[in-house]
This record gives sequence, structure tokens and C-alpha cells, in this order.
Amino acid sequence: MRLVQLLFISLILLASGCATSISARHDPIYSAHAHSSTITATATNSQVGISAITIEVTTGEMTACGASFLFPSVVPCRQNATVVQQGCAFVGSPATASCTFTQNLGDRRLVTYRATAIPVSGSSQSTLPITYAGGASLTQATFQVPLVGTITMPWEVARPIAWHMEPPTGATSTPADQIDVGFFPEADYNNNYLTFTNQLQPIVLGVFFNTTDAFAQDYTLWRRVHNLWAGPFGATASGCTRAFGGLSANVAAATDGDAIVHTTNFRDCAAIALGGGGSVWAQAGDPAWLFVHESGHFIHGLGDEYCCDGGYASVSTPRNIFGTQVTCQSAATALGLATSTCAQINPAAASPSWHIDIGQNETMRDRTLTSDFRASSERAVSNRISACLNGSCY
Amino acid sequence: MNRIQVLLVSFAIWLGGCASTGPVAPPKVTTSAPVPVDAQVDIVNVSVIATSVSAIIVSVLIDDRKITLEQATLARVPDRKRASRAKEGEAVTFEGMRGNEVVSSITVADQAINAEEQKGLVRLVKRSLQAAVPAPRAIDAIRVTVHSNGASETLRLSPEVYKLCEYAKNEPVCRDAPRPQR
Repeated sequence: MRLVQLLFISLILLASGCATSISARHDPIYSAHAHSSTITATATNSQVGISAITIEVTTGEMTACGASFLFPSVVPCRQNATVVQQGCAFVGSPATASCTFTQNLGDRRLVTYRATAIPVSGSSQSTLPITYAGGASLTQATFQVPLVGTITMPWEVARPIAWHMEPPTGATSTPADQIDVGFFPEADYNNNYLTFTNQLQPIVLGVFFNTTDAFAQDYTLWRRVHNLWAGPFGATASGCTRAFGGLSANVAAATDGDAIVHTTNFRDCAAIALGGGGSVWAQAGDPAWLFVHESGHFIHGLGDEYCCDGGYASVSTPRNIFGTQVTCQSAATALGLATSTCAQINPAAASPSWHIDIGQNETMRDRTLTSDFRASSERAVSNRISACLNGSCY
Repeated sequence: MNRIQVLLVSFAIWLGGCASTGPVAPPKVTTSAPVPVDAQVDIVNVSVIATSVSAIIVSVLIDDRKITLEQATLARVPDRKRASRAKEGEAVTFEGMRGNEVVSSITVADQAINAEEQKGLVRLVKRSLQAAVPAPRAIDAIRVTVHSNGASETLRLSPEVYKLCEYAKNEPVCRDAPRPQR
């Protein structure tokens, strides 16, 4: 190798060694009661170290956008906001450093934060702004009408759990490049929204903030492509029958995928569709895994791959369920896999279905934390994320 | 300095970084005083205003070939500008009508085909669907078409849907909206 090439590579290594990374998240992830909320930003630069971290936090009152429109908005606006900047200065150039900001949130709070890491030398790095709600949500929309005065109407907004304000394709893009996921309490919560949000926490953290378990790695890696919302009461689920009554229907209409979270134990069910609904049992031992599996059905259109009583149909791209060995083998070849990876899912059935089995735990088949979307399922999920990054998820 | 020296210096810098991996001393924390944010430049409001449209949010009940309107609401919703989220699989199209003119349309996934765990495929004859039908101007009916069986129904909207237009006559969606009876 020529010296110039070596020099070039060494400079690349030098630059990569100095790369600064930063992540931030809030805790609790969503609480609909007055509470103390902490934002933690963690920055790393293994080469020159971290000099400082700043967290810019904007907090205000959640509204239905009555100051901007004369119709209520499903997605909230904010008024009477203030911005605070917290700085953490570090001595000793630590390779990894954290900075926290804590504030008490009353009802109808909407918070946006953005963290910036400043290395000892080199350019700083910032997170994308994230917005979340805290405290009891608003229950009515208020409008100021000239010559008329104040008018109000019953209303509920989608409450952001993690709303990524700068979509992945840039500031000029539309909400089409993100997958909006709604979480709704089933009627079996008996109007106890606190229990719902408490049980929602491990689901959201286990799916979208989980770097430990294989089943969550796709959703955690591509968290910024997803906006997470909590909906109001009004949703019901029983078996495969789902309904959104009252104001919950407005939120459901604005999201791509809807998970109805329930406490009663019944077999979960989801539409096999590119955007739809499903149910998730919050009190199962592994509700986060359940969400990922069910969302495989209702967000990505995947079918079940376990024997012998699953839902063997798919509308994903590519499909993960095949009616014949030939179509399965064709799909395997297209994925660069041996045709021998095709296997019958339910051999005893009159017309067995086929899938691609690469010998690893698959989320649409294996109920274990070490599962992941594999083979055609993995490709289908990747294709959906790629579609988002190209401007339109669906 | 020749190339080899440059190379060696670069590697030395890279290898000999000065970040500390030991215990981190508590940082010096400073917090600014709160500064009011003009609502017009608030990132949340800017985003919502830039990316939302007027729409009629409808909830319909599909029972085989029978389609009924459960509720309809005029609201602002995120503008997804999606061609369709149901290019694959069964779908239902909602068209906003003004007389015989199609003002807008949106296609959403039908949710008839379901996977019930440890049971199998379940085809729902009766299901509830929600859709936000863009309303760049007033629409007086929603035509719903179920692709799988061709069932289609035109659902007339009550003038009550536009009751807020009494206060927003200049909004495009309100200019020729049906007037609710007092």
C-alpha cells in the first residue's frame, strides 16, 4: 500500500477516534400525573474527552392549537413556554460524561429537549429535538374568537411519549417519513389512566430504549423513525374485535399503528396489515416482546411463523409466509439464502405454509428475548425503515 | 517532515489520546433563568402549523357489504401526503365528495385479516376503521369503498360537522360548508 494511502487511512482513523456521540432520554417516559421529570444526556468521546454538555429544555402548556386554528388539532401545540439551558462543565476530559436536568411537571405540560456535547477539541454534536407530554392531558379545546369570546369543546389530543421533531429526512419533510405508533388503554383499565401509564413504561422502554435484548434492536436502533403517542380512553379489544370510540377515534385516525394495551388475559390479536391495530397484554411477563411481535403483524404486515396455530398470511415486502415451496425458494434466493432454508411451518395441515428458517430465533416464531426479525422478516422491516428514510414509510 | 513522519505522528495522536476513562468528577452545573418563547417560533407550533391540514376524521363500521358512519369530526391532522399505506393487502378507500366531485381521498389498510395467537387466521366480517379524509374545502359526503368485496357506500355528513365554521368563515374548508340549523 502506498504511503499516501496509509496516511489517508490513518487520518480517517484519527477522525473516527475523535468522533463525539450523544444520546438523551427522559424519565419517566410518560406520566399523566404531576411528577418529577429527569432528562439525562450522555456523551462520549474516547479520544479527546468531553468538555461540556448542554441541555436546552422548552416547557409550556399543551393546547389543541386553538391559537393557530379554529379547529382543534389532534397533535398538540404549546403556549406560554419558557426555555432553560442547563450546562454541565467537566474537568479531566472524561471519555464518557452525563448531565441531568430535573423539573417538576404539573398538568398539561409539553416539554422539548435537545442535548449538545462539546468535546475538548473538535466539533460538537447534538441530539435531535424530542418532545414529550407530562401531567394530566387536556380535556377540552379552547378558542378565542374575535367579537365572540372564548369557546370550548370537549377534546383530547395525542399525548407525545417521544415525538421526534426533526424527521429523518430533514426539516422540509412531512410526517410521512415517520411511523406514528399509538398506545391506547383498553376499557379494562376502568378509567385508571395511572395504571395504564405505569404499565406502558416497561413496554416503551423495552421496545425502543433497549440495547440489551435482540428482539428490540431494530426498534431501538431506528427509534427516531418512530413517533410514540398515548391515546385517551375509548378503545376496546376483545379477541380480534377492536374499536375506537369517542375521542380516541381521532387519535387512531392520525396514527399508523395502534396498540390497545389491556390487563385482562386473552389471546392477543392483530391485523395483518401495513398500518392497523392490535392488542398487547400488559401484564404478561414479556409485554415488550409481545408488542414487537404484534407490531410485526400490524405495522409490517408479517405473518406468524410458529407451528401450528398461527396466522399464516403476510402482506409484507417481501412476504414472510409462502403458500408453496417454490415461492419460498424463490424468495430465499432473492435474499441470497440457500433454498434449503425453506421449511414447512405446519406440516400436518392440508395445505402447509412455508417460511425461511435460518436456524436462529425469529420474533414471528420464537417467544424469547433472543429472537429478532430474521431473513424475510428482517428484510421486510428494513425495507419499511428504508422507505421512511426515503420520504414515505408507506 | 516526510510522509513517514506525518504518518507516525498521526498514529501517535490517535493512539495516545488524552480522554480520561477513570472516575468522573461531578460537573460544574449552571442553569439559565427561564426565557419566554414566542409561540409563533416555538418548534412545536411551527411543526404542527407546517405539517397539518384540515380533515374530516371519520369512524366507520364495515359489516360485510354494509357500511355505516359512526362519527365524523372536523379537525387538524398531520398531513402525510401518502399515496397509500395499503399498496399490499386488502384496503379501503375513503373519498371526500362535494356533490359528484371527488375532493380528496385516502386509502388505508383494511383490517379484516387478523392473526389471533394460538388460534390462527381470523377474517373479520365486521370491523371498525378510522381515517382522516383531507378537506382542502368543504366536503358533504364520504364515499367508502372496500376493495376486497367491492362494497361502496356514500355517507352523508351532517352539517353539524361544520359547526365550528360559524366562527371561521374565511377558512377554505368553511367557505361553502353546509350550515347547521339553529
